Amino acid sequence: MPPDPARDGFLRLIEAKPDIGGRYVGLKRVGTNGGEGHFSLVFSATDRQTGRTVAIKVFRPDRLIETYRFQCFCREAILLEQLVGNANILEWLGARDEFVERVQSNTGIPFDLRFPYYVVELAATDAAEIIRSGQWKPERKLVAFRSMCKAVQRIHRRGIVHRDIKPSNFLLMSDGDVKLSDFGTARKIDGTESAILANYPAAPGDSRYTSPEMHALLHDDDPTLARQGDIFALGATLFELFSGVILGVQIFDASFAADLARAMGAVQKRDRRRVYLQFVQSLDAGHPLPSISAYVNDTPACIRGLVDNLYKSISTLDYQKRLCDFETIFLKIDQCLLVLRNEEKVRRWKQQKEQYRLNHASKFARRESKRIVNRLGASQ
Amino acid sequence: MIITSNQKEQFIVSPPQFQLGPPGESPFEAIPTTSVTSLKGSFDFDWVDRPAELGISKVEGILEDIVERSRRDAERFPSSAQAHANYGLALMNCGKPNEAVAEFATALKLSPQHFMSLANLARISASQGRFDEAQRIYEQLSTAYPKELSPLVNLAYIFLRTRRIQEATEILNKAFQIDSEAVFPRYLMAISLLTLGKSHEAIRHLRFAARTEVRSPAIYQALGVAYVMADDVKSAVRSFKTALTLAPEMKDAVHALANVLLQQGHTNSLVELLAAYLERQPNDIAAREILSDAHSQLKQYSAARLQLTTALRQLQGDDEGDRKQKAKVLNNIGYCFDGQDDSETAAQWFNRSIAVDPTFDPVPYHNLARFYTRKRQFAQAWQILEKCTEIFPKSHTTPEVQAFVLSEENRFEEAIDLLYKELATGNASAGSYAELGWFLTDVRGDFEAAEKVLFEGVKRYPQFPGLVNNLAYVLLMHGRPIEARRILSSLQSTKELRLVDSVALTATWGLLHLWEGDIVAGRQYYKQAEMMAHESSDKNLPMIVRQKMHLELAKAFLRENKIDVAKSETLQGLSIKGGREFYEHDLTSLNKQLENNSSAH
Repeated sequence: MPPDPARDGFLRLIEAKPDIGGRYVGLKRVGTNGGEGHFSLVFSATDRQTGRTVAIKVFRPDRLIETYRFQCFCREAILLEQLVGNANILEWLGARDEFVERVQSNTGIPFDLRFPYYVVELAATDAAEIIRSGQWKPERKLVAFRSMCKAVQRIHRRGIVHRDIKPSNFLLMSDGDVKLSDFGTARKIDGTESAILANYPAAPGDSRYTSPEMHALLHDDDPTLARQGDIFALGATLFELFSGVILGVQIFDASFAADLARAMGAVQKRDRRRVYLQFVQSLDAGHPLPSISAYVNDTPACIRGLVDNLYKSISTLDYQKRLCDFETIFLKIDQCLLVLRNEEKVRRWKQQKEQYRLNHASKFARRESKRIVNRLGASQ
Repeated sequence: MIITSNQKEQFIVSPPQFQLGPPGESPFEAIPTTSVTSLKGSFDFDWVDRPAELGISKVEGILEDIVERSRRDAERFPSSAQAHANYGLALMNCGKPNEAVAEFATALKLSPQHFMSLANLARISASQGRFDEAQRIYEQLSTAYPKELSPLVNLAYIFLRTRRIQEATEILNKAFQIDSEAVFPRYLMAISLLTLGKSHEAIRHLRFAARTEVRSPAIYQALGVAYVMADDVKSAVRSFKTALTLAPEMKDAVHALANVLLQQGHTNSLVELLAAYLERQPNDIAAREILSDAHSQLKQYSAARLQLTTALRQLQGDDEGDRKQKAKVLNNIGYCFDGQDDSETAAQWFNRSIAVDPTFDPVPYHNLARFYTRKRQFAQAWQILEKCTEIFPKSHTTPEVQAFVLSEENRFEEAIDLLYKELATGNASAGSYAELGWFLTDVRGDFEAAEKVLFEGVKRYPQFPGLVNNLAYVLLMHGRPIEARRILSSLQSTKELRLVDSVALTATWGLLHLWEGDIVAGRQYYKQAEMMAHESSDKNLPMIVRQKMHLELAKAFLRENKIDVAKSETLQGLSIKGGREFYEHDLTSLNKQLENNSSAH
């Protein structure tokens, strides 16, 4: 992160506070920068009431003028509150509130800084870090991915789309649970809530995990398309779990960009989908997704094809062909797990099958040669 | 009947090109698209390194965001080689190879055998034409990762690219040992066999790959191209159609199928295919050009013009390639106007074509020179041809047009001298040989010299119909029907013939039958040629054919000593207006001879 003196100042200021709201004490920044967010700072603290270690997400006061970002922050807290009680979703632990700090300007004039915040459970690390460290074995990756899918399925059932699914937004709790976090770009698509802005200049979330139709901003007209976008990002996460490579970085080259630009060629908002659908098939056909097996990794040969098939079916570039049925996705994950856990048995079964085929072939050959010999004998 | 100069304006058609894209499964392949160009019976191979086409404002922002986020990742995980490699890849895809190289180097410091970093470094080297360095890295990779296929496949590509086919084949055989079912090695093996002209073996490998990768349109596309090269058009069409079933918008397959249909003369099916395709992909200029070619072959000049003008509107760039393409389209629009008998407008378009890019091609100059020649404005025609020879001093088609202009000015001897000089360069076009043969036969009556020239021409261009026809004609004039039949039968395909050539060939077959003593068949062939000639835009052609038929029938009857019938034929021939001067002259002399004969009797 480039030097940000204001951020450092806020981090020090909050760490120096004895408590927040008289309830949260022992404030300490998470990581060296208080998290990776540009608009918020994350601290760990102890809840005096419960004795539990929690995470406090504080909105940077100098970014309050960016209304859209602040609205996203507020919406995140509201959504997390609505999602309380759902497994695999980061648990919301306290109401949204704010504290005020009086500071002095450079010219010596005192003024108040407003720090909105909310409290959630504290995570040990996130999936991005796990991927980089290479700690997880294939089986653990599949189990974690199952939890990730479960989390997305849960929010979709509640009429919420996340729109920023990626490994760093899946937090790993100290008990090993994987939980979905960072609902800053999430929104309800059940019609109860409208978008913060009518038109967005770019797709929400991390471009490296954004689906092509989200890049083309089709969700402006049809917010429900963001569901397919979440699924695409899940596929990209699975790809990264097994290959270490970010899918968007891999596929987004100049030729892909040129083809996508053609699909995004509509000038009028109402024409977007029509134009996009004209080009999406060639985009899909012209840019085959890379296979996990192409990367040197520890994925056992017995599940390479299965994992490949799973990620490719949920990250298909054409959203009309994308596998979006979670039950089928779970079935496929379970199939991978079954094969992996019974690798030795599967290997032996395959060997037996091959042996049977060979035996059968040689039996057939013997029978055939006997028949020919008999026929030759008869003719003589 | 002899084939004279091509007096028709020319439609510029790029030779049929077939693109073979690699199956595109592995992210580390440095293998670009292969372009196969069909050039009159042979195939030219080229690797198409597609340059990064950035500058698309809408997606530029996305690419920059990808780079920026990957940079932050590399900062967040400074000790992760993978994070640096991801950042390097983002930079590479964003068209910043030098910065990418630095990032991959950082990754390699952290993990010296990092596969992705090494593979991408080699990819950058290959794309920049530093094949030695790429080869070194791939060799390092294949030693470090002996079970990995990708380094071997890329190594084979480097060998293929540097024309070391034997080494490429050896490496690919090693790759088959690692994974016999892998598609990429099969694909590359097929390419190497195709470059060696072993299309049937290539088909075997591609069919194997198609069995493994049943849903890969790229494999079926490659299979189609291999079938085209093996001259198995039916299977080629089937393969291209399969590729299109798997990927209905696959541009390369649509173009390939269209090219094959066009070559086969299935223009109606082609029009149907491309019209539907262009509804969905209106910006495909290449498809519009093929469609306009088909329309012009069907003499649907308005429809052809519509496609070309639409293409012209879509050609908005101003780089060299765009200008050349515009010049081509403008010339072809002119050709369509000419087809509609509006030669004045046609000339304006030829002029526009030259104005857009004077260095594009000699054809617009030739077309314009022909226009002025037809208008008897020889000074203008010579002016245009002078300009053409200045810009294209090495063009071997310009002397053909110059000779045509000279012949129209009745300066035949100069035309003969010019063509002899052209032949002496050793690079004369087939048309020049055919034209000189015509002048020597019909104008000078020097059959021996004509035979020598035409034999030399047929030796160089054995499948050029004009030459084959003219040589057969000269041999028949010498009374050598056996050799003439052998020469005429050597022409393998008559599917792509111009109408004028078809008329002349049919007439020459008629002449052959007359020399073989089969007068009925000979007359039938001539009649057929005359019917075909009615389709031609040259209104005198049917008259010329009929005139020639009577002349040759008269000669045939004379050989059989049937003086009266021969005389009747000469009189019928002489009654024709608008025929060819030489034939009229021959008919008059024959008539005199017949009259002398009958008076002697």
